[in-house]
Amino acid sequence: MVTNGNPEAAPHSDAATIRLAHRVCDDSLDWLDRVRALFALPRDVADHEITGDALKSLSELALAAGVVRREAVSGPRGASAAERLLDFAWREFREGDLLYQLQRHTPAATHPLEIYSMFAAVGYRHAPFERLAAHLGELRAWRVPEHVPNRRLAVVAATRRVGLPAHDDPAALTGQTWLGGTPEPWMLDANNAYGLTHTVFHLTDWGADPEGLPPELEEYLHRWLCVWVEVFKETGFWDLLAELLAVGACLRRPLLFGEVWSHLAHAQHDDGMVPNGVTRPAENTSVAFRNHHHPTIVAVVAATLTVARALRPAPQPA
Amino acid sequence: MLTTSPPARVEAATRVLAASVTRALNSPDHPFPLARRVAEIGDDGGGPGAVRVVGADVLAPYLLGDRVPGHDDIEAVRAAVREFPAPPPAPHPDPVWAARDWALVRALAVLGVDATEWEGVCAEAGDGSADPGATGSEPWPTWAVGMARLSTLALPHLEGATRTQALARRTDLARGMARAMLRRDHHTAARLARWLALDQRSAPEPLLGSALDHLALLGVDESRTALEIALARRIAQPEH
Amino acid sequence: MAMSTVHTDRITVDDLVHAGENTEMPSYAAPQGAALLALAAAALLSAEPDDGEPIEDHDEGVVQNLACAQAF
Repeated sequence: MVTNGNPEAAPHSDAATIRLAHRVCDDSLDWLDRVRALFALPRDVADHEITGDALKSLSELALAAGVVRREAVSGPRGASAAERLLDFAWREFREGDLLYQLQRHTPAATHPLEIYSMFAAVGYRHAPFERLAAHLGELRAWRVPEHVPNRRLAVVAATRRVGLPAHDDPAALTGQTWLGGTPEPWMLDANNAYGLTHTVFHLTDWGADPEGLPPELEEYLHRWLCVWVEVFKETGFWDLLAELLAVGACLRRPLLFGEVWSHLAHAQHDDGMVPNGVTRPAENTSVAFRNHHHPTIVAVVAATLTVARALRPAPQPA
Repeated sequence: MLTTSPPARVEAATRVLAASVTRALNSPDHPFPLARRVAEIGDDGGGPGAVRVVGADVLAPYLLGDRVPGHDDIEAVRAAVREFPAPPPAPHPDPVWAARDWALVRALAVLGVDATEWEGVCAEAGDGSADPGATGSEPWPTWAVGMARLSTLALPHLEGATRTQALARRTDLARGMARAMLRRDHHTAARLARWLALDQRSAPEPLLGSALDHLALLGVDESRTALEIALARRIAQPEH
Repeated sequence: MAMSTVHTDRITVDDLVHAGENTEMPSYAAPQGAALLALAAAALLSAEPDDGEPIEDHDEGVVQNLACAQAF
């Protein structure tokens, strides 16, 4: 399995990688669980006035907790924290009713469905929302939102997760993304890098379906992912690095960067918060939360997928 | 004299000499009087030191074209080697000097000059077919940096263990090149592009052409980068 | 040439012969220079990208990038 020059040649065994990723995951979940009240949505404003940032943070919390539940590789401590977080997030969305009201308020918006799909994937459903989404999904308008290409894939993935009929051509949409264009690897910048990671997340359903990634893109990532991981490890851009580690764990033949996990583990604060690596967190947790909850959530996703793939190695190639 | 600070002087001399060699490679019909170029930079200006830094690449205009070096050109190289000898192999052999002098001795041999007994040549470089530069099976990032350091071995006439590795690990060369480009280290990237150029016909790297164009345009004011690019282009598309 | 100059030149030549990659990437290198901007664009930071937090690397390049983005 270990060959010259491949990232797998790092002097970390799978066992060491699993141990590190487990610890990062548990500590991150601890922190998220402890600060979960900071994810709460405001109760004193109209539903449609809740900021996108607030909705996004809470939905990402639910996504991470959902991945922990789906992969079921956490210890009891992490697993119970994830269950609490999922329930908390679902309650904050008023068990789907808030998303339903948002979708009614702005029928052309795709984010209520995208958020709802995170819950639907782990069994939380809201029947009126799904009837409305089924109707919207049939409209011509639903096929032509003015989204950046990787975001189009997010909508396709959400539609699939909720179980609605698919009308888009994922291959054509994938071809519009940065990753789909298999660009010269030295042209990656941080903005395109986030586009790349999300293209992989949507195509593979956050690692649940590695087969969803076209083989030529798998091959492209096998060639270049280690380069980007190396560069962002050097810059200490932990938020993006963790996303790239998650990408490696979404592949058919996963790339698990054991040595890099030790850097991420080292960067994690004692209280479990993973800093973004770009701005310096304040001492006060509720202030630090604003800029550093995202890398901590990503760390949970990346660590969970890494442990899962290390324990259950790649499915055999077709 | 280019400047009064000794380190800056040798660096500046290296840039001037590298630019001369680059011009010669890009204009194969013009003569390349190496001895005269070194004399123009001058002893005080660091000319011989620059010959040592540029290494076997000072001979590239002769190796990669129809030019024939004069006795004075060879003598200029010999004088530089004498003035800037490789460090003694004891107590610690220096693999970089050994590999570079291995390349220099081989390149001179192609030109009909036996330099094995020259004063100042690294003792480990004089004979044997195994070049001392081969670096084993390191992970790709450090391996690629080591290969970049030895780019002067990337000449068509120099068959050795380093070249064998370069052929075996072309993906890692390309990774190292892409990483260096992202780090805006054009010189390192160009040196790795040159290794890729060496076996481009037998094992094509589709990104090589656009990488060289990119480096040439972004590293436009770096003469050592320009030399590596000129060499890479010349090596990838030999006229002979 | 004075002996000390020869000695200094030899050290310089030796340094240049061994020169490997640049030890630090410049502040404007693509991945780092755009980091803050990307975080802001991806709405991963609050509307005020540094949110009162000092920027970790103090790179002028990062700040300039952001100023450019705001200017346009």
